Amino acid sequence: MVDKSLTKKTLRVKIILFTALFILASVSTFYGTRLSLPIVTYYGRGALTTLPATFTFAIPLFTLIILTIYSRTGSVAKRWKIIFIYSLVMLAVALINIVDILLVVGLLYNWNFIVGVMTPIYPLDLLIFNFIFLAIGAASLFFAIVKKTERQDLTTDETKQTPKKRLVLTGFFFAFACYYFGEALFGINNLFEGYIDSNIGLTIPVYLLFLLLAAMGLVYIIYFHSCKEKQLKRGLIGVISILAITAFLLLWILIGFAINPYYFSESLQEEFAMGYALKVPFGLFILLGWILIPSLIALIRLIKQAKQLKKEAKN
Amino acid sequence: MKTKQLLSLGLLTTLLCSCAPSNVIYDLDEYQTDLAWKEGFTVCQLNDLHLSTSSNLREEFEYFRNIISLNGTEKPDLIVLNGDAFMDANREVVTQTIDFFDSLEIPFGLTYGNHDTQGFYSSNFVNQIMLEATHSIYKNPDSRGKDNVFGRSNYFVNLKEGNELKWQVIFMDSNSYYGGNYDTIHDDQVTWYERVILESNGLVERPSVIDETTFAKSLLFFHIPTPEFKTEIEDFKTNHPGVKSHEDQYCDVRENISSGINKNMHLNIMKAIGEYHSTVSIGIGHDHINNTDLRYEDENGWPFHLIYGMKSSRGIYHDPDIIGATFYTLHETKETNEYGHDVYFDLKMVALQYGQDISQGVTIWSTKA
Repeated sequence: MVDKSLTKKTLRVKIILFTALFILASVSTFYGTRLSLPIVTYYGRGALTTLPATFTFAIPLFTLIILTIYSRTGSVAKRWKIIFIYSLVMLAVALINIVDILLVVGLLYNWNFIVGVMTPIYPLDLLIFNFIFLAIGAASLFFAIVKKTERQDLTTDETKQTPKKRLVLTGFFFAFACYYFGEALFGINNLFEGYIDSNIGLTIPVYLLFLLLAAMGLVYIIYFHSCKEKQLKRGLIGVISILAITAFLLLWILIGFAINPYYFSESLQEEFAMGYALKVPFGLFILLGWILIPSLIALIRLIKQAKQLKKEAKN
Repeated sequence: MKTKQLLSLGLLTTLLCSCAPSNVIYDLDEYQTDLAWKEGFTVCQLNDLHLSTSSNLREEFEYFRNIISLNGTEKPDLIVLNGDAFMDANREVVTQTIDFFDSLEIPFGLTYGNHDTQGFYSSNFVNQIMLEATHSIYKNPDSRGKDNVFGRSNYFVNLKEGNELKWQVIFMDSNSYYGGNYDTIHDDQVTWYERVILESNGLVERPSVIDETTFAKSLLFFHIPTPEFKTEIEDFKTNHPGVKSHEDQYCDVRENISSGINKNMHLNIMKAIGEYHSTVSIGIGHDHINNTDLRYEDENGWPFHLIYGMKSSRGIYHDPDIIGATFYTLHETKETNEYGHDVYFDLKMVALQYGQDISQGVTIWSTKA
């Protein structure tokens, strides 16, 4: 995303925009995933009422991924294509959701638009969100069609070519990072519920570990694909720091287990992933350990890029 | 740099020390509720409601209202939500459900299952709402979990006539997971159970001789089966192949028994029951399509019922022909049934499908002819 041509100001604006969108996507991804879970655990019962929420809460994450792909695409033709596809998806999702919500309201809720339970003013809030998505979809479609013919002056930026495989991996990374960041926010919010859990000192490293994934995302956005050695060095320092903090937090969690082997089931079971991981032998350690993987991949790639740069400089 | 390191180390030590398990001993009063005894006191056990954000609460509440009336009496005297009332629920679902049971104006209690804390709320939320409900008999003296009894839903009801203790209903938290398995009742909970039996009956120490008249009789409710359920069911199946009932025992087991294991625990609740001769029945849930009423007898020669209660809603997996409610009707004096067994209460399991009228309820097992 970041290249030589970016000024400091533009970079700052992009970081703020991506951070804001990341936080929004995190909250909605976490909420949407948890709301959608009963579709699986209840064998599809309630799907008609739950699916609009699933799709609605997935939109911010989808937007984040599309924006990331867009910003890493140099080809003008491909950029128009991305906007076009985004518009179509937004329009389709919004229309399907609106029809579904109206059906549910008519069939199940006797045309009552505020039932609550799933969200505070469900399904009215979902309906409003989907009309907003409809407007965004229509606007971006208009932009994709009209501006495409107006802006023939745009040229392909060769420095922004990202392989498809890497883009897919980025999508997956954002999905997981957003979910875990949302979980961390949810857990931290629970800490302020008005009572102090006896395991509070042991739950904190778990939430911090989740937040680290988001920090990794930020390092990824800022420093990857940079052609400057200085930027790459900073990226390397960032990733190594994250790895060190991750190791420290994992150690903290292990000490926590030695103090109270039941603290996960006592105080962290409300975290969906925790609850299910507790059923699997070593599930928790697999769950927590995988947080190291993105950092390790990032470290390897940054080292490779740095080596490449050095080679180029020599030549 | 040194100061910073020292500060960090200090902060970490404080945080870790704050997590050390606490062992505050509370008076038993803090776990106790008294209710008036009457002959034929009826307890209605509802298992595994599994209410979630996708549940249609209006329909569910209508169904619950129907099944608690299935015993034929006007209404039960106590309702027990015996674990997994909630799964993937949020605050609204929990609040509305507890408000619904509160509105029935029948005392009601709740034991924690392995799913009740898996929702859009903190692990304390269900506990807090239960403590606030008007007709709830749920007790937990320390919501932070700092008392010396593991888990949350460890409390009991004394059924009294004047000052005389007639019966007890004891609730325990069978906990959730440990080491990739379901957890069991912990040693400190077993010790607490013994204390409940002794002190409620006006004793401080266990008498050297205990017989069936030493303590008032009690029902015990928790969610996850103990391993003894499995061995007893296997015995029944081996001895009575191909039948669901034999004499005064019933065994309709359609799925594996997922009991808890925890190698760190040394005391066994079943052994304690056998030693004290107070508890006459254990009511559990957890496995949704298993229903039993088996007689278990350990080396102490104290027989008690192992009851897999009926699942009470259509939440997650279930067999529609065996969802409903389980009723216990308590008696002051024991009778001896035709098989020579002592009978302290009548048991009835009644199934009702969604959308059916109460009159269409099917009694799948009853100890009373």
